[in-house]
Amino acid sequence: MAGFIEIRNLTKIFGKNTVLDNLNLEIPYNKIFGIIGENGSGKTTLLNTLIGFLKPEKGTILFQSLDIFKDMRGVETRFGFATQAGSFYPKLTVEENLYYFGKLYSIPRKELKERVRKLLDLVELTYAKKTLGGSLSTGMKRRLDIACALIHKPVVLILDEPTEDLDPILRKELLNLIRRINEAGTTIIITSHLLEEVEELCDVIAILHKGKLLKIGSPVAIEREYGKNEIVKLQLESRNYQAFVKKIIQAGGKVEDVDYEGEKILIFTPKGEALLNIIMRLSRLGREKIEHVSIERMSLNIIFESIVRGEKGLMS
Amino acid sequence: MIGSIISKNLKILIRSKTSALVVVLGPLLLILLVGLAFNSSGLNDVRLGVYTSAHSDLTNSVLEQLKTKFSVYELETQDNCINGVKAGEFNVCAVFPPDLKVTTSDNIIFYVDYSRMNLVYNIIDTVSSQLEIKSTALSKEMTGNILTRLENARVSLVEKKSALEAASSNTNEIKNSLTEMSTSFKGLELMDMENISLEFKENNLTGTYATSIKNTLEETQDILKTSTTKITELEGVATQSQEDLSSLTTVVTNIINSVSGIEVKDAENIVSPIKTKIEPITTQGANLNYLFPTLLVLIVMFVSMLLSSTSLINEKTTYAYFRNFITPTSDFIFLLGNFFSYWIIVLIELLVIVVASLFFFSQSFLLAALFAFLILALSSVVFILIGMIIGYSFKSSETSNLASISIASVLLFFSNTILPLESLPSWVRDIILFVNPFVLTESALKKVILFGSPIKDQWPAFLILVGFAFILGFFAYVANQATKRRL
Repeated sequence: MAGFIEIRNLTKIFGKNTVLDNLNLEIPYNKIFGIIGENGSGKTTLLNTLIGFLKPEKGTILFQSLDIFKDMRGVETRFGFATQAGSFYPKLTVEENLYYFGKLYSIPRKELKERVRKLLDLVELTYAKKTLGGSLSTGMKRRLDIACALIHKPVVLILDEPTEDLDPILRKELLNLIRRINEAGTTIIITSHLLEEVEELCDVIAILHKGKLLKIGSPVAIEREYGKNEIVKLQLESRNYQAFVKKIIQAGGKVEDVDYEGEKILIFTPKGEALLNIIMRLSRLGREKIEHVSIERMSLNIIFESIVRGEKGLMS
Repeated sequence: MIGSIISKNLKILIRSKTSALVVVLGPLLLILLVGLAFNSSGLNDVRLGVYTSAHSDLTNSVLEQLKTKFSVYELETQDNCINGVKAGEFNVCAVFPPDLKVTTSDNIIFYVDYSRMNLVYNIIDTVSSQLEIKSTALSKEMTGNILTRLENARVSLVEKKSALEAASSNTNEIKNSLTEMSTSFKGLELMDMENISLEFKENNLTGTYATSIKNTLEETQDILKTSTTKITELEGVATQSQEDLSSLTTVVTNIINSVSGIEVKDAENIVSPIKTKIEPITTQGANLNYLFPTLLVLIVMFVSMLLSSTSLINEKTTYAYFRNFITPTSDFIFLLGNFFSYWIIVLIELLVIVVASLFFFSQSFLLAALFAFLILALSSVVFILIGMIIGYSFKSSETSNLASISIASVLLFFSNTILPLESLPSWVRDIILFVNPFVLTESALKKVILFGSPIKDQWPAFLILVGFAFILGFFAYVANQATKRRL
């Protein structure tokens, strides 16, 4: 179901700062939709606008073709939201938190009891249901928060940086949980700084920069589009990279872009093998000592940096 | 090191605009308001209820004197007058005895409310001062009257002194003449003369002896003539003396009448012509009883405001607060839910206090305690809503506590607890009596607890508090919406 959620010409301004700038976006049904972007790119503002908490200056958001700002009750009952901060009461137990939020959604007691039981099972907190929210470990808190967001059986679950501050094991557990939720029929919208996990988890990703949509598509499609380049990582003893790159280009090497990673230069090229041969030849001729050289495929992380840098005008 | 810490703390405080504003402006505003309001000495617009069944000149004259300093309201019954003090309409009720005169021993009774300890002695002093002025004037008048009469008596007596002396002299003259006549008469041997005369008759005697007798008789005849003349003269002197004494009698009678005309003869009445007595309007004796209503309102005010503001700040600072807003539950329901939570806590505390107070007061306090509970329950609504507005408006518990304490202090200062409201200009007091929930509650509680007023008499206070609750509820909702926008 394409166009499950449609964001049209969305503009949100705080004071003189345009946080969302005429944004257009479509979020498909029952997919895991990732939103990535730098800090201040407008990710959280977009999420807060999606749940109707913020009102845009311009534009609209359609949920199943209905304007969410004209049907807030629909949004409140169909959208669930979990933040990295843990939106539950630390002085209430796991179970009490779920019952409390369930009551706010007017869920009948009997049904609520069943839902709480199922949710505790889903997030694997049944054993800790009598534990105070504040006494839970970081991973458990994150799971409780997701459980609270799911108490009213939302069709859309919005997760703002859910794996932030989690160790790799907890992160993996949480990603599995998100997948299970999605498999149960819930559309997931997720923001994250960790692009590897977005790449691994999401069906569709949108790249935001300064409130604008830079790119949208599946990770594979984006990688295919931007991943035609390979990266040659090079470290010369002289560190005189500018002159060496000029020599590479003069020798017929294709250089799309360059970047630096510590002492190394990253050379983006569509023909990595050929470039590597040129580098070796130039090294021999010019007696330039190479400390390190390698060829890598472009990851989403690098593609993201590349796209954002391109937007900033850094692409050569 | 310490300098760095101080510098850091000050920077944080100053850069948090609300905190800086509350820290600086809160106390400043408090001092400004209190300073402006209480920048005068003495009392303003002290209201005096007066009752007398029959006016006399003295009553009117005393009332005129009192009117120079107080607003005087005449009541039709003594009960109305005393109830007026209980209701706070008057500060004092003065009950004058019928036909008050300086000669009567009855007192003017002043009924005062001893529960207003910071006012009652001041009022008694002021009323006494005013009466003292009148009393001194009356005392002077009476003393002057006595002295005038004494002076008139003196003048009259001085005027009649010569007549008295003349009467004395005449009396002396009469006495001397009578002595003289007595001596003359003693020289006559009248008995012998009678015998001699008899002998003359019997013996038809003549000669020397007869001549001698004849001479003696002639002498006697002369003496008698002289005596007759003197007696005639003495009659005149006696008549004069009689006249003098008669005029003296008149003067003395006048003096007696004048002295009798002095109305007040009792020295105490002359020294204190107006006698007063101070009576309390309630039989409650202990200071705790008088303080108890104020104490209750103080507890309710501070607990309600601090509890609601602090709890709301705690709620706002939890991340869960945000989740509440994205549920279908309306903001109004959240507001009501929060309000009732705080209200239940305050009511439980109130219940404990009121039940505990039953141990200190008599069993008759039970009904009053119930009424007091109702009044406090209503006023706690107002204070909780004020606290909620503060809680919604501020971001940290420090600033909200400071704001709560500042507002509570303003309400406290503009009540009868520290300084009597009579110290304020009357127009300010009139406003405060209607807009300060602390004063409204305290006043209603006093009437119920100390004076045993029925709860139905407290309807005006109830209605005002209910009105406040609605207005503050609206503002609390507005503050809640503003908070939501700031999240």
